[in-house]
Amino acid sequence: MEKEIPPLNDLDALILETLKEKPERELSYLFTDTLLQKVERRLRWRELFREFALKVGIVTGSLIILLLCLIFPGREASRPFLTLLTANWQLVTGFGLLVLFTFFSDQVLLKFYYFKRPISPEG
Amino acid sequence: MDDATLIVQVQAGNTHAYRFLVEKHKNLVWHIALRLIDRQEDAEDLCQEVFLRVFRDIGKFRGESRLSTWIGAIAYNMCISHLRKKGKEIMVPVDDYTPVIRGKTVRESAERAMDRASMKKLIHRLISALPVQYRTVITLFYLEELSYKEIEEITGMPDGTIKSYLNRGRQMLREKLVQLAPDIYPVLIFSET
Repeated sequence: MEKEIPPLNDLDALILETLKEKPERELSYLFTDTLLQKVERRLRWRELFREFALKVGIVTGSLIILLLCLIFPGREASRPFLTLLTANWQLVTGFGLLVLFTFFSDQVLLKFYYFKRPISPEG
Repeated sequence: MDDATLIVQVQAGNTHAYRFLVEKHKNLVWHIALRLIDRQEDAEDLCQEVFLRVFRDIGKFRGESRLSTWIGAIAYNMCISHLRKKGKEIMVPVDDYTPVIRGKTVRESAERAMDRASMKKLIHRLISALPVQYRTVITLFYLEELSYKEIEEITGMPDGTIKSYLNRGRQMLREKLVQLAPDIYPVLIFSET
């Protein structure tokens, strides 16, 4: 079989034709689905975190109001309670953080990981 | 759906709009990533990263350029960062263009390039062995059919540089083909000398 030898201009034409050709390799057919799942998870995380921040804000705000009421001048009856709190501030802080973490785990982490599903071709 | 509406919808967290955006622009990002990075797995991971960045930063899009150009610029910059992290040279001098493809020289491949399809494969290999800046402009101009202005917006290269890379890139491909396949193109060799 004889070789087909293209003339000079054919080489340029061939180069141009090849340059305009799409690569044979393509993105996997799951590309968009995988990406969407990642984005949905990010949105979910953002939403859960916003809800959590809102709840923490409400609880913290309520506690601050309660404390302000307790230390309001003239309320001598609350003095022993405040003394107890300040004397055991480490314990109180630790307890607060524990509550916060439990709350965070329950409201954010568990919900988030429950939402996370494996990616399968069936969708 | 026009770009402005699409952006508003994506910003509002509409995943259908985001899917539409991805489907519309994924080929552009894929072609840039594949031509610049070459390794399929890395290129695909990078495409994911590009679209996640697009999702994160879509609020920063000012509408001064087309959305596709903005996405293209993100893809290009992320590819360049990726290559830099991998320690690849970005601005390779033209004289250093000595393509070696997967352990064997292009010459060996060229000698087997008997038909048009094989020649095209060889040209594709030569393209992937071109310096990064050449591959970029060639991909954006020929494959994506973008204008010089759009390529300038994506890559930040001046108009003249883009034109020069396009011409020089084509010339390099041609010279390399002629040099590597003299037995196949005696006519070409004769014309060149």
